[in-house]
Amino acid sequence: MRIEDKLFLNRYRTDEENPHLKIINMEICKKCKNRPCINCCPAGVYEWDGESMEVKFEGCLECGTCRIVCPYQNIEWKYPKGNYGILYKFG
Amino acid sequence: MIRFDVVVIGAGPAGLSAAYKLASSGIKVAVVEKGEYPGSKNVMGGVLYLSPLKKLISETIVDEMLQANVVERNVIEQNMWFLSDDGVIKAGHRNEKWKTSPNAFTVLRAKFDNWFAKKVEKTGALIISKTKVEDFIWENDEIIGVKTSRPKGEIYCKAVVIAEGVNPILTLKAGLRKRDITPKMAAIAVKEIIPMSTERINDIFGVGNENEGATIEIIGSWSKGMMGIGFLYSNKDSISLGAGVLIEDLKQNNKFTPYELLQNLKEHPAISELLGENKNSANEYMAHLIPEGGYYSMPRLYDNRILVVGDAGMMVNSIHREGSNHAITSGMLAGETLVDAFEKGDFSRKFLKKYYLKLRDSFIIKDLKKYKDLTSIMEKNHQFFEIYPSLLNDAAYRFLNVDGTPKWEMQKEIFEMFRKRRGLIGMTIDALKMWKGVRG
Ligand SMILES: Cc1cc2nc3c(=O)[nH]c(=O)nc-3n(C[C@H](O)[C@H](O)[C@H](O)COP(=O)(O)OP(=O)(O)OC[C@H]3O[C@@H](n4cnc5c(N)ncnc54)[C@H](O)[C@@H]3O)c2cc1C
Ligand code: SF4
Ligand code: SF4
Repeated sequence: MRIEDKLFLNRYRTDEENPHLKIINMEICKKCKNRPCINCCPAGVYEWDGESMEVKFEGCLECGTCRIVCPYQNIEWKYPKGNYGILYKFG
Repeated sequence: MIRFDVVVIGAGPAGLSAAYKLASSGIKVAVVEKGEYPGSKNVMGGVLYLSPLKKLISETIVDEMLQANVVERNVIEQNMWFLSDDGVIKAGHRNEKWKTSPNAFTVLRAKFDNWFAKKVEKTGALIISKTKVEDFIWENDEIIGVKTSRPKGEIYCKAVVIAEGVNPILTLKAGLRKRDITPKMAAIAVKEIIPMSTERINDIFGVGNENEGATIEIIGSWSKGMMGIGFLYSNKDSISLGAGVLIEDLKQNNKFTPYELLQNLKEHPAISELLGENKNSANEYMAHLIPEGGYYSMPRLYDNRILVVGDAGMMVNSIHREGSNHAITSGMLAGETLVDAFEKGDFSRKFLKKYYLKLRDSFIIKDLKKYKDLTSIMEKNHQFFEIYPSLLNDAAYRFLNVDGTPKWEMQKEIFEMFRKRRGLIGMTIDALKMWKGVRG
C-alpha cells in the first residue's frame, strides 16, 4: 500500500487556510544534509522538488518527529487549531 | 472572566487521572483537550494495565469497563518473538490466573479515553474539547492561567497540570525544560488496525472467546538493525500491528521510512501468514512518539502553581512497554498533592515538591532509575536488534533440522557460528552490558 492510500484511510478536519507546519528558511533546506524530515516522517509530508520543500501538511499525523529531527529547527511546528487535524476513530 | 481551581492541559490518561482525583475531592477543575473528543488524537499499542486504575477509582472498575464494552480483550498470554529473515523464535507465557483476575486489557484509545473522560465528568470536572491551550498567563513570574484557542478563551486558576503528552511544547514555555527533546529521546511508532474476524483471532491465539487475547512483541530482522520493537495485539475483531524505532537510528540509517519498516514486519513470513488474507487491508493508519529517554530526559516536574504528569514528564518504561500506567499513577499523585495544597492554601514550588517525593517513592521513578542506562546501551549496540535474533534463529535451525549431522558436531558448529559472527569477547561484553542495564 502506498502512503497516500494509508492516509486515505484516516479522517482529517483540515484547516486549509492555516497550515500548521511551515519551513522557516528554504535556503537552510537547500544545504541540509540528507534532509531527514523527508525520510523520518511517517506520513510522507515532506517532498523535495530540487529547489524547495513541499509540505503536504494535510496528511500530517501530528507526531512531532520532524520537529525533533530537523537539525536546524527550521520547521515552525504547531499542533493544528483545536478540533482540526487528524481525527482517529480507533487510536 | 472564567475561573477554575485547576486547569489540566490534555485529556489523555495522565490528565484525566489528575482531574478525577481533584474533582472527586470537590475541587473545581477544567480539562482542556484539543481533539474533537478525548482520545481522537491518541495512539497506543494498547496494553492497559489495570492496577493503577483500580487504585485511582475502585476495584469494581474492571467490571464496569467490561460492561461498558470499552476494552478489547483480556491479555492472558504474552509473547516475545525474535525474527531472522526467514525464521522466528517464540517465547511466551500464558497464565490461568489472568483469566479470573485480569492484569491488563488491550484497548483502542479513541474509545477508551472518551469513556474515561465521561467517567471523570461525572465526578464534576468540566471537559473542554475542541480547544487548544496556546500559552500561559503570567503574573510576577507565576502562572495564573492559560490562553486557549477560543475567542476570549482565557481561563484563570490557582494551579495548572501539564498533561500534554510527549511533545513538550508547553513544558518548554513554562520553563520546566531548558532544551527540547532530541532524536535519541523518542521513538516514532506507526500502527495499523487490521480487521479480522473474531473467530479467526480466537483460532490464532488459541483462546475460547472474544474476551480473551494475547500480545506479541517482535524484535529482529524487520528493523534492519535499528533499535526497534514491533507489536501485534489482539482486539475483538481486529489486530493492532505496529512498529516503533528510535528516531536517531532512523535518521542515521536514512534509507527506510517508518511505514516501510512496518511493511518489512508485515512481509516477514511468520507475520504474513498470521495475518493471512487480511494483510493488506487496514481500517486506520496512525503515528505517535514514545518517550525513550527515561530518567535522564525528564523535565523539572513541579514549580510554583504547576505540575507535569505522564508522557510530558517522559515517564515511560519502554523496555516493559509501560506508559499508560505511569501516566495514570503520576496523574493521581499530582491530584493528591494538589488536594493537599488546597487544604493548606499553599501552591508554592516548595510545597508542590511533595509530588516529586511521592513519585520517587512509587514504582515510577524507581523503575526509571533502574533502567536509566538501558536505552543508550541498546542504542549504541545494534547487535541486540540485528545479530542476536538472527544468530538465535540460525542456531535453532541448525539444531532442529535433521540432516544426519551428529549432535555434538552440531553444537560445535553453532558455537563456531556465534564466535565468528559476534566473537567471544563481544558476547561476554554484551552480556555484561545487558546485565548492567537491567540491574540498574
Ligand atoms: C505506539 C505506542 C504504543 C504504546 N503501547 C503502550 C502499551 O501497550 N501500554 C502502555 O501502558 N503504554 C503504551 N504506550 C505509551 C502510552 O500511550 C503513553 O505513555 C500514554 O498515553 C501517556 O499518557 P498521557 O496522558 O501522558 O499523554 P497522551 O495520551 O499523549 O495525552 C495527551 C493529551 O493532551 C492533549 N494535548 C496536548 N497538547 C495540548 C494542548 N496544547 N491543548 C489541549 N490539549 C492538548 C492531546 O491531544 C492528548 O489528548 C504506547 C505508546 C505508543 C505511541
Ligand atoms: S530537516 Fe529541516 S532543514 Fe533539513 S530539509 Fe528538513 S526542514 Fe529543511
Ligand atoms: S508531525 Fe509527524 S506526521 Fe506531521 S509532518 Fe511532522 S513527522 Fe510528518
